[in-house]
Amino acid sequence: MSSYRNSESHPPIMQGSPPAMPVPKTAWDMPPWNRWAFQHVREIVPTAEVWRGEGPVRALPRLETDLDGLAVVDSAGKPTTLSGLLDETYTDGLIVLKDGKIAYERYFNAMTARTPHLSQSVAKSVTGTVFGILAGRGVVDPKKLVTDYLPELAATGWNGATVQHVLDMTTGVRFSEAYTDPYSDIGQVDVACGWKPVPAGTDPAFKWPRHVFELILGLTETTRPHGAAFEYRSIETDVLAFVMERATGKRLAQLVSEELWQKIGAEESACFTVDSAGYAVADGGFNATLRDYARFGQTILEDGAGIVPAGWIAETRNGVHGPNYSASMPEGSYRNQFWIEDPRSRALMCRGVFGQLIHIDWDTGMVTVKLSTWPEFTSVAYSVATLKAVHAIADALA
Amino acid sequence: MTSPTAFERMFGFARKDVMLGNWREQPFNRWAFQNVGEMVTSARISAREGNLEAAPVDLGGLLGETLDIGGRSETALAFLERSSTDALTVMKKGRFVGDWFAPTMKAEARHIIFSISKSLTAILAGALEGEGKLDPDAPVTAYVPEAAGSVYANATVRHVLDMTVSLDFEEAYLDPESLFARYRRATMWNPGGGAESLCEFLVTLKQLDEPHGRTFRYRSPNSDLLGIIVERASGQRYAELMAEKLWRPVGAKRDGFVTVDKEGTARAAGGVSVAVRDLARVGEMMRQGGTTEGGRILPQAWVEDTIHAGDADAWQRGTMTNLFAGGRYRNKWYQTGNASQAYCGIGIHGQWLYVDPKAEVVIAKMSSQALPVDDPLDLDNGAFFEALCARV
Repeated sequence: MSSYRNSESHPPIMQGSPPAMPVPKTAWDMPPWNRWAFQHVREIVPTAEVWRGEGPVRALPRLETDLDGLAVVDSAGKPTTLSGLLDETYTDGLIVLKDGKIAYERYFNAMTARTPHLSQSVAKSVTGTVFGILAGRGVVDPKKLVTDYLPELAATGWNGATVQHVLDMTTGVRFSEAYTDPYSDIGQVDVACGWKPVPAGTDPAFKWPRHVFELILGLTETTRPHGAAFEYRSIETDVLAFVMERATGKRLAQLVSEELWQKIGAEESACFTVDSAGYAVADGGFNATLRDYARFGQTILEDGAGIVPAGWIAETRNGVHGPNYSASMPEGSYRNQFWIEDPRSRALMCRGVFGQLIHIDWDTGMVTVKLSTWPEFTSVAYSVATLKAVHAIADALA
Repeated sequence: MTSPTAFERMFGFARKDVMLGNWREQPFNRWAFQNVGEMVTSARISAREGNLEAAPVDLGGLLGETLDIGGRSETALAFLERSSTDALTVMKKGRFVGDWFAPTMKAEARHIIFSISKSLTAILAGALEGEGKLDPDAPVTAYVPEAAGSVYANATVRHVLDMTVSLDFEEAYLDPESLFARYRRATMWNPGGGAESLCEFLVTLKQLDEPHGRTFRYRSPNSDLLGIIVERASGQRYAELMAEKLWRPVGAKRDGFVTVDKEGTARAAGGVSVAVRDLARVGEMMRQGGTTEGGRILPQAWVEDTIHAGDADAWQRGTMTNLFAGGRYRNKWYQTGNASQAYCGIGIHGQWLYVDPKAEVVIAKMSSQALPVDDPLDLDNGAFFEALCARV
């Protein structure tokens, strides 16, 4: 089915009692269902709370500029306004912090300031940041072997890999990220992590992993030596999370709560989807409000604000840039679970499929968060147009 | 091997041992009753933003007081432990006088309240009645036309509210093959759920060979249907309606949650999880005749009706006279029939919201008792509340 833009009429997804258009469990992340589902993940899959604690909310002062009519380009490179681009790219929420103040904040598609929104692989950067905090205290060490923490992974492709390889997604483990193939490794993650039932029409003899750790234990092959090349594979982040859980004896949702969400002055508790063994899906199951994602980005921008080690963030920005990191960022890099936009700005980015972005730019003092529900997993054209808009906003606010 | 985690030391099992197939059984329920959202899909009942709960107050000397509980002398603390209590909050004249938490429960945690959810659902019905949006005397089919082929075809909302529907359904909590098991799968509470929705299940239920309105028959599907009735009457979904009509005005400090089925239909009969003090605030609102500092939530007449009216004969024809010999059930609340005129909401595994209007005391107790229904222990709970109200 096709999706609908904010400017188009909204089909009555999950409207009514019971709803005439219930979201199918088999396709909740697909168009048009994702337009409702990414704001209601708790109603679709089991979740664990990431408690915000009882501390004060970090105030975000307002110094707003109306950027609705700002001249930007659309995904075809044609002139449009920022409002037009946000509509074209299925935006649910956009916020811009400039020097820690809210310069621009918009919600669409029934999203509100209190709505948690799935951020897909932004979860990787959140998880990686908590790793950095733990590393700063010496609880974990990126130079150690994965098997120093998870001895049972000696029988897998991670044997001999360091945690730093996992952080940078440079282990040689074979893992297929083909999103549309149900039997691909990422397709099996969908079942193992509890997001989807076993797809209809698949081979009944196929043995689906019962949970994420079982899937990891089944990944025994490598395609190249560890450290030889960057290859984006979601499962690396799950291995990272299991390292952290094993080293601390705490569950990921608790770690993110204690190390970040209770410290950054979050307005709302967040949540992670959990698999049947209770594992919080570090590679893409995190949900939080637009402003709390911005507070997370602002914490990074402030070189950790005393919460994340400044040295860890500096190190994260020192990725090795080379060709072929990403079609939408030809000069990009990947380090410690963050994307780096280019070697000049060394702006950090958290990115998730279907249009999730946190852009953290030290040159402009800006944090931009865009939460979306694109009809496709990935879109180079939408990504490029969005990044151009971030820079146009920066110029307008300069 | 790795050493046990703090979780494993606290609970005696690993998180991965808790599954949809065992989450309501001991020892797993001790953890799962506070983390239902990890087991079952849930919708948020949002509290007002920025509400922060005050620190718990020590129950102090009350814990050590020896009480007469069913002929047995026992300290309050000993009874709390014997009845697998996870949390207890006591209010007197509208003030929190004490809280108690088991080592396995934190003050900020939510806990499932099971059938006290029914009492909350009926509050929504009362609020809608006050707005003229719901008529208790109307037929169920005025709100749920598709119930026309079911037991509810000739039942009224009043029958649903008072559990006097002549429903052919047994609450066989422990039999996996029963109609009850099909019901549990529809609610997503048991493995294998999601084929049939809760609403689809409800409209297949059949009537006994007896008219409605005669006998008190405690049957949870009635209350799930009431959840759908209040949705139809209001045009809102349950969690949103609860947030607007009850959770925000009552001054709840933490979001509540309610489990939902594949269509987002709430388990109005038993799926609500809340913080213990927030539950007590609901009892205090009832004690105040339907008002809070935030204004009126329920018509005074609805509250008076709930705590005084109801059919004593229907109760006598029912099967719960062992719990309250002279009791009544009205609008999904129990009247104890005791001299205190106390009334309460009760949920399986030891959930209680107990209001003693004469002593001006409200008690909320959350537990993870081994059995869903434990007659001797339920009686002891009643005796405990009576004794405690006299001491507060």
